[in-house]
Amino acid sequence: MRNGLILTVMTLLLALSSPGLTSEASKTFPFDLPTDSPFVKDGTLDVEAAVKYFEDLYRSTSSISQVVMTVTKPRSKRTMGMKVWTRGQERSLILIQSPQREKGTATLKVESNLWNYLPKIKRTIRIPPSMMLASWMGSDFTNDDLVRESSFSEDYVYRLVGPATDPNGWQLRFDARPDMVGLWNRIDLVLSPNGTIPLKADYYDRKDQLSRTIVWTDVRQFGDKLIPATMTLTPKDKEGYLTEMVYTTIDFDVDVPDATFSLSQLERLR
Amino acid sequence: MSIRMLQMAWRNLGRSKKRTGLALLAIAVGQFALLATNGLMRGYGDNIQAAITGPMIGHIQIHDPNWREERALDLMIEDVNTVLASVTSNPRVESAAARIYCPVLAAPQQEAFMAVIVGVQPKIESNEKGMLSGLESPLETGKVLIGYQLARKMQIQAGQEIAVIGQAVDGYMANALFEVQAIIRCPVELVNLSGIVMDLAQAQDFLAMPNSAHEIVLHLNTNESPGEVAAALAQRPALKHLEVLPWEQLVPELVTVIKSTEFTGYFVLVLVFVAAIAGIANTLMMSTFERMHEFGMLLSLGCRPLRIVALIVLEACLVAILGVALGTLLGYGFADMTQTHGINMATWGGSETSDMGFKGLTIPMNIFPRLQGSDTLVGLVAIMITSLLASIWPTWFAARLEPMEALRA
Repeated sequence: MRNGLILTVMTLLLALSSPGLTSEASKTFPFDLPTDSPFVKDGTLDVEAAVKYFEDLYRSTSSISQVVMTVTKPRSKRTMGMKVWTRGQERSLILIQSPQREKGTATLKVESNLWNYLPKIKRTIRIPPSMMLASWMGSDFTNDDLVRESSFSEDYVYRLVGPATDPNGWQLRFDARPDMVGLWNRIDLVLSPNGTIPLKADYYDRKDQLSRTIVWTDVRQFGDKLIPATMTLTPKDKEGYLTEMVYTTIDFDVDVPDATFSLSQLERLR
Repeated sequence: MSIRMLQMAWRNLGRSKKRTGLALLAIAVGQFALLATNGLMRGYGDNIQAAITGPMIGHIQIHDPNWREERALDLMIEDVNTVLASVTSNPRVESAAARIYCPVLAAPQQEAFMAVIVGVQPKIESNEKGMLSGLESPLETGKVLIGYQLARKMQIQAGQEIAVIGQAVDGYMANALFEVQAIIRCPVELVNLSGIVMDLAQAQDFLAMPNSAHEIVLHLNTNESPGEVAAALAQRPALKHLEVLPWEQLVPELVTVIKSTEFTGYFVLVLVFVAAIAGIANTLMMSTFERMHEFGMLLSLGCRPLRIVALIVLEACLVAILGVALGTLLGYGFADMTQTHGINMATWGGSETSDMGFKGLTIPMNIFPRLQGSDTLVGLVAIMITSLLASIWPTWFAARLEPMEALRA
């Protein structure tokens, strides 16, 4: 099932990004965005090209990245460090490295299947389809966010609305195709003025109510591309909840063998 | 009204036995229908109330004020032992049981299933009104009980091991292996459907919520008012920041259902009115018109029209009383016959199960009709009024009779 949750998935699995060399986050642009404008011609955004770039921006043959996830709840806050391996959009493996209490817990995604490995009880559990909308690792991301591989242009009819002011950039609107089964009815995406960086996405549910917002910040150089390293998800119906993901390193197009994404490997990871 | 009048009325009823018999039967069936419906509906209401105030909801519940709306894991009753001690010190409280609820994944093998951990105090819950009443052997530490429908879904049996995965109160992942002690069937629908029942202390440990619970279920001594006790308990310092609610406020929709069962009988009453009015009016009309000649004779002999009117009314009342008596006899016979085994309404509807799930409660559909003296009285009054109404036309007719004309009739 395809869905526009690609925004989430893609950023979560940011390591899928463009071809390039291994790189530490080497350059931070807290407020500055790239100025070259390959998709802005005659004062307007070439929406076809920008969306294609956006989709391709996060595609890569393989990647390995380090991510820090902070989950804030009204009465608690916790941080997890994790390592993520990906291969194409169909396979990914997430290993929790910290804190000690959850170290070794791993999530394997192969196509639309999801498994969790729990080192404490040495068991691998397949997440049932009925739990896809449940929270992943206690965050505001759902299991479904991890599983969905999708393409905006396939699941949604999109168009350029015009210049955006909050934040400044280009406002794109994605409406779910009538035959698309999914959680979201509409996604409003803001791209940077040059059309290469996603800045903000508002997700509207099937009742057309704003359900959650993702904001991308902290644009950094990874390899030969500028990518927002921080993604913040704020659910609108749950006050005081927030999940932030910060990508510290991303290695693109490294050798990640197929065997990485197997159940036996999942259990050997620790 | 003299004995003579009564004798005359009685004799007159016997003059057309079939007609009187039919009128009598119509009233008796009406009264029986009224009693049977009232009895069944009251029995059903009893079942609902028993289900509510039984193991699932109890008479009173205590929660964090936001628990019922959010059901977030960290909306706990902290220092639950102090709260329990404070509550049970009230002599009107029969028992208090703390519980924990937490959605989890349960996996006998690799496939996981959605389930709910229900942390309970086995000793208290083994009481008659507890969740585990009827459990053969006490729940052991480190073991869990699985609801039969969940067990069927997971295809597991007692003695097997299951992995339980959830999220602890502090947000971290909670996972552990538990041995299934038994598969249980209990009056709480939630437990049957998705319950993994474990000892409260075990659940507290698993979910990192020491000395805390999500709910305290109170059962009161017989005839105590839940509303009054709840209000009294809410004043106690240990319960100051908690929500203390009687069952009527916990499930207002079920209160409406119970009330509606009380009123269903009145709809039947209206039908009884209509049936009785037709039967009695017909009988009285026939017998009045048939006896025109006789009435003419009586009037010409000096009998006052009012006496004839009284006679007709008396006949109507006699039929009514006899009919009600017969119907009441049938009604009580019906209630008495069904007292041992009840009436299983579910089988009438072709259903395999004998219980109905509603709002997480299992409401038994095997109903034991319960009659009250007022049911008979309501029927009697209604039919008496009906009879009097039905006799208006014949009496009005008889009162205006001219002796000579009547004699010629």
